[in-house]
Amino acid sequence: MKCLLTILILFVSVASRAEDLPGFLTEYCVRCHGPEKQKADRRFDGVENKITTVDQAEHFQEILDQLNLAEMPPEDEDQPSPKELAEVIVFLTASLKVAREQAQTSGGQITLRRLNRVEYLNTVRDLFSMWMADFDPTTTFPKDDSVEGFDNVGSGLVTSDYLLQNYLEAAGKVADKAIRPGPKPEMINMRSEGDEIQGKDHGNRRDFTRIFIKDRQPLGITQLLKRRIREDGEYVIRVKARAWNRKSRYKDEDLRYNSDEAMRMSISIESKSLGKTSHRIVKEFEVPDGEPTEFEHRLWLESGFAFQVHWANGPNGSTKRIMRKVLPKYTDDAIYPLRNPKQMYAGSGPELQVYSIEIEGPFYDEWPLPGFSRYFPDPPEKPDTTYLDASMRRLAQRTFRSPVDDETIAPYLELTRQYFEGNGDFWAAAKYGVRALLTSPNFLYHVEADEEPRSLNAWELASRLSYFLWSSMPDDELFACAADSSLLKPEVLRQQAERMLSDKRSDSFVENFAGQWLQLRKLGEMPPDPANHKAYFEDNLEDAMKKETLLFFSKLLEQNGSILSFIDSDYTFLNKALARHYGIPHPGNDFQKVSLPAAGPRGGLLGHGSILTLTSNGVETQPVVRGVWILENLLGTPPNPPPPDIDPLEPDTRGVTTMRELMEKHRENATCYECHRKIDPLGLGMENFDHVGSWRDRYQKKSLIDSEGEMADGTKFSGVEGIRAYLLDRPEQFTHCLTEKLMVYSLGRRIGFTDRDDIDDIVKAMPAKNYGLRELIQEIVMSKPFQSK
Amino acid sequence: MNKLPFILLFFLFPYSAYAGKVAPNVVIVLNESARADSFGCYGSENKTPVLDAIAAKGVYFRFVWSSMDSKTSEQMLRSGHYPFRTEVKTDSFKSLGYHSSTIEQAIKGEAKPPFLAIHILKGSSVKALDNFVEPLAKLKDTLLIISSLTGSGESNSAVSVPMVISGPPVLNPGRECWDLINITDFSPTLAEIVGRDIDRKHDGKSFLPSLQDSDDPFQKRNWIYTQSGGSWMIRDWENVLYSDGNFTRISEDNLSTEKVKKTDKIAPHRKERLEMLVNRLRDKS
Amino acid sequence: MKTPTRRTFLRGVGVSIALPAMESFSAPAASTTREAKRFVCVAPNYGVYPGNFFPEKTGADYELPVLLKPLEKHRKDFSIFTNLDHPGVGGGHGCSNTFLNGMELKDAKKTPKKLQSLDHLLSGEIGNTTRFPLLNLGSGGTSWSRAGIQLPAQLSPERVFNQLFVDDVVKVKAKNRVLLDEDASILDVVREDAKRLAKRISKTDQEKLDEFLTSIRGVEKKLERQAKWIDVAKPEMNDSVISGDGDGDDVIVDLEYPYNTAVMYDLMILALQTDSTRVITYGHPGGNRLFPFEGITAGYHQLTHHGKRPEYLESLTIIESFYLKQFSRFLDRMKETKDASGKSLFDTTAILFGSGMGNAGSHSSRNLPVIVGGGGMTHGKHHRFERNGRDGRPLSDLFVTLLQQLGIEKESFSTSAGNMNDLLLG
Repeated sequence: MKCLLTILILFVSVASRAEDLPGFLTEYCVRCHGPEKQKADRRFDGVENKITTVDQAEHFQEILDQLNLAEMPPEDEDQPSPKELAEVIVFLTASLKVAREQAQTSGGQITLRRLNRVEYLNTVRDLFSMWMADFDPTTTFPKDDSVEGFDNVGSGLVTSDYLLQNYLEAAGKVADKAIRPGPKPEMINMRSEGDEIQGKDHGNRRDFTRIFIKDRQPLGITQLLKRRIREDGEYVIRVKARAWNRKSRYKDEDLRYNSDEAMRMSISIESKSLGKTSHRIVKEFEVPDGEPTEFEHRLWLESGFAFQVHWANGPNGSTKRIMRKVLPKYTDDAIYPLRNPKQMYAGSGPELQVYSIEIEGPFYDEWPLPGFSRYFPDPPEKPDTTYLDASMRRLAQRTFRSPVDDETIAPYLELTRQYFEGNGDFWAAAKYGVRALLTSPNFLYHVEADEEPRSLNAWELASRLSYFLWSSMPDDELFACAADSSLLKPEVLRQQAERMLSDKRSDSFVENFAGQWLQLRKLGEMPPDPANHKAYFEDNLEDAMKKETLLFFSKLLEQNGSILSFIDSDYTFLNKALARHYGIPHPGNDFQKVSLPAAGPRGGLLGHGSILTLTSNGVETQPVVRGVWILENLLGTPPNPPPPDIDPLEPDTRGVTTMRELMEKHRENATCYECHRKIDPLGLGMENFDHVGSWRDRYQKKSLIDSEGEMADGTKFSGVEGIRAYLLDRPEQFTHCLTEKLMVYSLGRRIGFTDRDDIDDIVKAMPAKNYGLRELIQEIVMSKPFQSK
Repeated sequence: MNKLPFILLFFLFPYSAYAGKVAPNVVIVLNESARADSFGCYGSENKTPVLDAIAAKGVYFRFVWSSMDSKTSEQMLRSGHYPFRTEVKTDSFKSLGYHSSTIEQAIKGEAKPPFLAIHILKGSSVKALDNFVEPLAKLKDTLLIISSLTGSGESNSAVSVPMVISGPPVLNPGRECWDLINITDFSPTLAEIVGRDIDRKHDGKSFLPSLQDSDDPFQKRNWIYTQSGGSWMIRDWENVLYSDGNFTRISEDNLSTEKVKKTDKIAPHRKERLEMLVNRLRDKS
Repeated sequence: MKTPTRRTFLRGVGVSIALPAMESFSAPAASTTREAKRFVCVAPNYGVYPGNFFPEKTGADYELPVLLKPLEKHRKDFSIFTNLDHPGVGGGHGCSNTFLNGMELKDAKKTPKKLQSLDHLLSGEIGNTTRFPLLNLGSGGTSWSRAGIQLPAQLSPERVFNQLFVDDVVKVKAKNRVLLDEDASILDVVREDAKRLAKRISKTDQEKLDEFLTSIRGVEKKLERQAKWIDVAKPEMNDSVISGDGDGDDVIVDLEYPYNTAVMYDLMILALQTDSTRVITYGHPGGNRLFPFEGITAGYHQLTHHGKRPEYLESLTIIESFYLKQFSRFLDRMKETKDASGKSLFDTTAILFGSGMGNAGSHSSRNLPVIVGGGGMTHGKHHRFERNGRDGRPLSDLFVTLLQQLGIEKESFSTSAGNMNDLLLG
């Protein structure tokens, strides 16, 4: 570290009029921290104007901290003028920033990168063509740390013995799922009818079972709930049900229910051994009033799972509550608040009546499954070691994502052979082999050999590309392009990237890149108070907001739309609930593209509920956080974090103070103001959006919101429109910011100063390409850093 | 508690699927005593082919209470009142406009429709009852009610009786019905069928909704009561409360009773409700 | 969001059980001349509001501030300190995690073992003879291994219970043994592979791969330990501590965070009593849940950023008092419960309560809230130390004394400059 600093940080020069740090120190500090006295063991008379060593960097930091804290100079000593102070602080901050950046960069070289949790999961999925929605062997993996905002950066991806133990366990689970020899599993058909359905009610009807309340009265097939699915496969579920008494004598507010909505029935699946985390709604049906209807759903079920049927929008609460508290309001024969007999209620209110539940399966498109026969084609009756070796080689090549030499594979072959010879069970040995391969560093790490930086070979490039665009391993076609080295031809590389971006697997790119660039993963960390935000929870606005932003990103990606649409756009994606939240008319129920009114505030990311909510704290907006968000993620100029031990602004408890007045206090301290003059105007300009992204003209206490402002560079603007215009005036700055983010994500490392030129070239090329998002990704794929190790 | 809307509802949607139609003939046959599960259709080993056939084209009821002595039962049946209302002695069937008939007349077709024939068969032989109703089962347009004046055994079993019903106005035939019925309920049921006003002072409640497979508990009883001499019983679907304060749970077989389990947290609630109901009932007298 | 009724989550479960003597498989502990043989750390993630925590007067007859009121009956049995902190640790969210190691990640990048936390160090010293060397419960974050890895914690009381008391069936045990052997062979092969790989890659990559090789060694050790414990039966335990005593559906033990504090404390008592472990760290979770108490309007995290707003402080005090009450109850039970040698758990366990967050309102790492109790030490006083500029007295001085009281002859820990033997071991 020290050596690196000495080499790289010889000349830190930052444009500032107050570059005379020694002068400043002599005037204000050296009397106590100099040749005569060394209070607190500090001596500053030898400090130079630039950082050349780690010690000096530490001096700079210390001085900066003290000034920031306004601890020094002591009150009874001469004080520098605010202007002087501000200049010195700027100088110190900037010098340190540069020094840090240069010390931290790995000089454009990637450190050995481990698969992160998502990549591990996706890779296993593609390795064995498995259905992973309900099979997640990674749930106990520790969270991957983020570096530069992304969790796929090598230096943040630590390996611990805890993780390794998890890898061993996960490998066992995967091997059990993937190795499925033997005959096609037999079909099962289970059915429950009438009152035999598990979850019996107390009515005297025998041809159906009643559900009275939302979600909490699951119905299923007793036999299946006991025995569970034994074989992974595709199954068909059939449920016959009817909506009964949707409108009844009971008032909606008593039942806590909306009788105007059509009844909806949901099917959930859950594994007993995996517990509640495995619970998932797989399908929802609308159940029409009138005669019973049969519904059918086809799905993949893992062994250990069973399904149940629920009323998705029935009365809230419990049957108990209805018997105790609702029923007595409607009949003298029931007492409040006792547990009156259910029979007094059955049939009188709204019910989802289930006549029969059935499951049939498993069905397979082909057997043996493709993820198995890929490695174990046409297994002989009595497979031998030759067949075992050949299969292991096929497995290793895929698992390690490159050709495997004999030396590397040898110990794995030996291990499985011994196992096979030891207990004679070929398939147990095969599973054991898979377990070992999935614990190999060649699988767990993106291996790019050699000491010196160099261009990637075709296999490495294939993986670099697939983990960038799919967060997973290459597929057959990409491997083929690696095998014949055609991937090294720019036109083939470009064509492959195009193909991959159009593939469904690029959803992972959208989810992981956009989710982290825009910090969407933060959504939900500070939810609003449920009591005052019913719709937010009932309509699941959090998910809807996230989906809006991801759909928007997907659309741009699909259509090579201009990245400037992130700043302003005349459309977005809404479902009914979110449209209602925004006050925009919406034709249907589900998500669709919606044109935005010309003068509205919603165009671009700054109008997305997701961004507005994740930059708030659930109770009120946080203009500082919003300002920082814009600086970080759109302008690419993140401010320094505040110095430690600074008391946050305290509201004037005697009254008054709007947010704007409160923020004025940042002016009082030059240290604060240095950054806050950039942050605060942006945040305050967005005050018309409240903490869950609704539009408002006034604060709750009725004072009108003032969204006028002046940027740090003097530009005057008004509201979110003004911020958009400001950003659109600087397309190169946003492009630069997004390019950097994409670079970090695609390379899995920090950006170093050696990358600057490549990034600048990309930014310069974008106007001619109409700022197309796909083009930007192609530019990155074509860039030197992307193709080098 | 605002009861108005429900009374209104009741009048807006009376169970008058039968209103306006010609009143059916009615034949009621009661054994002197029979265990509530003694017909074949209840799962008994007794051979009762005729009764089973009636049940198959009609409804058979699981929870019907008469009284433990046949005299009181007959009184309850005729008057439509509980025995503690000593002042009421009238025959509640009289005002319904039926022509009185004997069973023989009915079988021979000599009775003038619409007729009402009530017959009490001496003894407790289910076989005899089955034989007796054979010709009746063939009658057209006739509401046939077969039951018993008393049950057999102790406590709940002693007052629980079988009941099968066929003919108009039964809908969705072939059902077992778990609604609660009192022997006082016969005349109010007929009254509703013929469209006469139900005597509001009546202790009976029409079970026409049960015959017509209504799913609405608000049109049905949620308790039944019986009495013999000074001792009374009241029950819902799961528990029985006795005049001596005893409180039991009804067993799986629907007839015998057992102690309420300490862990049954809901039973005290049921007890309190039955106490309220019986107090209210007896306050009215 | 699930809102349990007030009644259910306040309900602590008093579990009294007859215990088999545990000495049979607790080998004689490292020869201790001191009293204490166990260590428990309770760490509220966001610390506590300093204004309600630190007493005015020093010495023995200080007046108890609001948050210490629940500890009134224990006041002779704990010590409280003002102006302790970790020199060199800065502010920010991360400082919570430095409570037990006094070290920030960024300052230990090159020497990760500097990150090892007090509890992990202790687990290697006094935890070797128990099934679980270290039980890390709750929100986690404060425990760091010798390799500088943050250790995961168990947040679910059910899982903790199963880990502690539910024996695997014989078949599973046999299968586990086979799996352990198999895993060990896989690790041999994988190590070979990694070593060969190391020759092909760059120096920096090799450093990264070292993590992997170190992990292999770590797992091997764990496998050995697991193999050793497979055939030793776990102590038998009624599960009423997590499932309630089965009297109907109205009374349930609520296991949802953060109301499970009482349940976690009960599990900790059982774990110590059965000698399943001798080192426990329990972190009160942070997060932004809305506590279902009367008068709480905002999420926990939000409240810690109170900006001294009176209504926020009021709410915060309700939550923090809840935590302190639960802690006091824990001390009650530590006093009531005897270990196999007949001494109370309280007297034989050094109990540390505190946080690496001095003031959540400003994310300050200065003047940390710290209480030490039990462990056969001298208690009852409030000690205030000098503050020189930014730094108070190193908290690690206290840790050195704790280490010594636990029989580990170390003269320094992390950033210590001395010890507090004069104050606590007098």
